[in-house]
Amino acid sequence: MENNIISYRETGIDKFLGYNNQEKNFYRFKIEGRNQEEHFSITLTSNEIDNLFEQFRFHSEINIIKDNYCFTAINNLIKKNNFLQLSLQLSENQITEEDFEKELDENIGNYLIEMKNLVNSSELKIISNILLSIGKSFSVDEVSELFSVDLKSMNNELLTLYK
Amino acid sequence: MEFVFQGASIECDSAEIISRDIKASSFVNLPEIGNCQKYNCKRNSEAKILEELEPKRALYKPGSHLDKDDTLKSEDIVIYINSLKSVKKEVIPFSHRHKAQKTITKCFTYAEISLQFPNIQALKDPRQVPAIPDELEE
Repeated sequence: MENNIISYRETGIDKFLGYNNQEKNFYRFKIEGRNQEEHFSITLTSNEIDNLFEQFRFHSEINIIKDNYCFTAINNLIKKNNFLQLSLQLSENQITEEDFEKELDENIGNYLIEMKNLVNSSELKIISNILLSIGKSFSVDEVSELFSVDLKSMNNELLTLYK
Repeated sequence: MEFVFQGASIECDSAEIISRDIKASSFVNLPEIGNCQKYNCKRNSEAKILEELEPKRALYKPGSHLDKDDTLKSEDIVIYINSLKSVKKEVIPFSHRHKAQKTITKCFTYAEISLQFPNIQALKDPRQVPAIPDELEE
């Protein structure tokens, strides 16, 4: 059976009723369709509901971290592009060595990629998932540069994973 | 001594870098080191220590090689130079009929093998760092 997301109306659900039995510590959800055959009910204990919400919270936190890494990658690519343009200007003698150093010194925010340590190995898994979505192979130093992760900390995490 | 395995690194105050293709990559801030220019050396690359660190201890990665004349030899090397000055490259005759680019750094230099020679896969270093795997286990 396909697990496609369908809208409320498409399901033919007319009523959604929730009952709370506090004495026996469970919740019953009754979902009524237009026909009698479409009626069904689910009973969940409060622990199961807590677990479900815990999972929703966990996934939303993961998504926030994933989004942050994607924004970091875009910012870092822009900074890298700025730096490469400046280097190209220097190599083509459009600017002098002094201009190059002065520009790096004065507008450091446009060029500098800040490296941070990985908090834990689950962040490495999130990065790995993003890379899988991109669908290209990357070397460790490329990943480090893209996601602002210190090369040393990334190597340590990889060694721990493969011990 | 020469080192050829992936993840092997050197740290020094001056290094001689030889590679077929030395290119600027980015400008990064390494923890405990400061602002560094990153260079990628592609194809048949070497990095040799000319001047040791003073005092002689690894500043960035514990386990880096620090002795004078310690050399990294590999396909690709990544280099971090703690300087705002861009490196001066010269073209020298290198292997057989191929030419290479050479530069000598005069400040803190960290070099690490990012891709070892493909023909030494059979001699895998047990401590080598693997490339990013296709799929990490959940």
